[in-house]
Amino acid sequence: MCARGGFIVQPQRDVQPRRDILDWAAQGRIAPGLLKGALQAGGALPQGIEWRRFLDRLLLFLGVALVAAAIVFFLAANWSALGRFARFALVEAAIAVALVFVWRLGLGRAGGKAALLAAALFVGALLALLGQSYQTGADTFELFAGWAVAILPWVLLARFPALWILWIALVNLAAILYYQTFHGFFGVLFGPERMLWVLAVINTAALAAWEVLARLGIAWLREAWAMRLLGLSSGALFTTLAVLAVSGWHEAGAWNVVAWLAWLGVAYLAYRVSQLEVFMLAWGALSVVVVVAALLASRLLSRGEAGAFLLIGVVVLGLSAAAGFWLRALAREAEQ
Amino acid sequence: MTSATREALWERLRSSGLVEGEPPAPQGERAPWFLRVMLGIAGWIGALFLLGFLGAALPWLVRGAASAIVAGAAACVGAALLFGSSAGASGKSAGSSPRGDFLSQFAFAISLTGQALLAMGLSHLMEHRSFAALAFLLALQQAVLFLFVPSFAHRVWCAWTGTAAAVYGLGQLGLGPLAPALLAAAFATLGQRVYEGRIELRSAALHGLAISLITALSVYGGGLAWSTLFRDASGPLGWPEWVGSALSGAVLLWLVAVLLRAHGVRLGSLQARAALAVAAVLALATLKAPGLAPAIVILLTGFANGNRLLVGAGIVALVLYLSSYYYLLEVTLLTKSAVLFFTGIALLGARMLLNRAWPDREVQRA
Repeated sequence: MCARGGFIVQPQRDVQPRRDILDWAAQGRIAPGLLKGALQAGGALPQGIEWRRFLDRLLLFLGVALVAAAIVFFLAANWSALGRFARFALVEAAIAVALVFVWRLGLGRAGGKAALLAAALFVGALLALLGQSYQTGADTFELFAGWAVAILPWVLLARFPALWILWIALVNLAAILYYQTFHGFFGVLFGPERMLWVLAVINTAALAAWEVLARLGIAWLREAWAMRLLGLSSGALFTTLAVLAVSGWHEAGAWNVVAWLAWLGVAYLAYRVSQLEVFMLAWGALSVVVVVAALLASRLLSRGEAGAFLLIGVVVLGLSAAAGFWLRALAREAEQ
Repeated sequence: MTSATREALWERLRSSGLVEGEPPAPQGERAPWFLRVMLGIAGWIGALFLLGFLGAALPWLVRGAASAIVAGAAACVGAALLFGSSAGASGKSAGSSPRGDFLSQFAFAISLTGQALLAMGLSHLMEHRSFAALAFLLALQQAVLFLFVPSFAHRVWCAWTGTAAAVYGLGQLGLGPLAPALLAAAFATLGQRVYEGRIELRSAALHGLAISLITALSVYGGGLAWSTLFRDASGPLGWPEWVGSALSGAVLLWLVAVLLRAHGVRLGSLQARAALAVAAVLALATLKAPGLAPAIVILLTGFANGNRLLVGAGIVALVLYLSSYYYLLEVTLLTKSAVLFFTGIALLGARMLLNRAWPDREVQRA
């Protein structure tokens, strides 16, 4: 868990002493029997106060997550002994209690943030209960879209990366369910291009906004896990679009490849030229390997010749090895 | 870390009598975890094409039991030799020169191809008589490769797939619900000794076990364990479910006790009793939510070892388990709701007590 209000439970000390000490041990410069002592002396293992902070966040976020899940499960159980109004009262009371905690603790403290996260989850439960009780006729995508709209003011105020990620996930879900509703499950499965485009735009826009604001100095946005998650989803979507195009899937167009190339170019500028972020570059390199393999497979494997398999395999391994060499050098550069 | 801080770290260790001499020149050969993952996925894709090549060029090799086993074993031996020569090509450790990188990547793909051939050969040999026996044979195969192929990423792969095969075998015998507990026990035990002896082997096994445990939790949390996918679903639920859940809780309690002792906290002290009480609550909840304790075991072990990757894995395990727990059919939603609610309230209460008994100004401000 990060030192100040972060969601992820992580050791707070720098990761580098551990890596250096393990490197030295691998080189034989630290005797095996002394390794643990070296890690302790180097500050690579948690001591009393770090354990205390870790347990504080673990108990807080796990406790809140379990209570929130309990209420969702309870509503889903549709317990007949509890009337409709009692159910509404339950969820509304849960939201009210969570908001009282937010008010009492403030959004600057982890407790306040966790309470707001719970309140945001309860709003979803309330909307689901509304649909379940009154058969509003609303589609599922409307539930998620409504949920995202309803909690947006909290998300904007909270300055809490985990809540933003929840919000972006809700928008993604709403988009996916929208296409499922109007094109059916098989429409999504066999004609996914338009949906992928929409999701790619959503996630890339979110990543771009996040990066720009973080680089403009908004410190609480500098959460590597959140940016990496957005980078992974954005890259996976553009890679899938490119794979569909080079594989000749239905009517997937050349624009998919153009967009993928543009994504690669911008990623290079953002994560190599402007600022070094090896994780994103590694993801980009894997994307290149996958698209090249798909392109070669679609062109060469139609007759199932053995040589084509071998050629593609060697190209994949060669490309990935070259990428590995380049990225390893960049990782060294990042450590300097 | 800059060279200045690296030298300062070395000096600190030297003043504690833990190292001698001048600080080693920075080598930076240890690739970040995500780079290893990227190379692993690419190697896996490459291996698929190599396997396709063998299937197209030498179909008899793939179809015959003896030929597939011999070819698979030869490929694995060749891969082990290639890994050795890739280390030689780089002069220091595997994959620090373009040639070394290519050789190790090629070796990884060759080994994966060999493993697939061995699996096919063994499958032909068994003629689908016993999936459990086949799974345990594959686990043994991966264990041998884990020991003899000198590559960290390869060892993580072998530890993961080997234990996953064993889990599948247990599932076929109707003992699947024991798997998360057994994996958690192995993981927690290894986690206590990962910095002793051959660290590369132990660390690779620890990471492989973590992935295997996360996989098992996702599968078993959703109730698939008791479907036909993992065992014959003819019999009623029996002792393995209860024993597995109880064992998982016991592993968590044991781990907490060991960590307390390791940090010099007497087990009879108030601190220790409070920590064990929280662990006992989680162990009790695990009886109805079997993945809870194993996921927390990953989290605690990762934190205790200063390993951020394993801490992240623990969080992923918890999120995945809670997501799949909803679909566990053997426990009603009302029971699940009660278990989660009272456990959550107990944890929040424990946090309140922690803050009163051991206040931390920085955390309170955060």
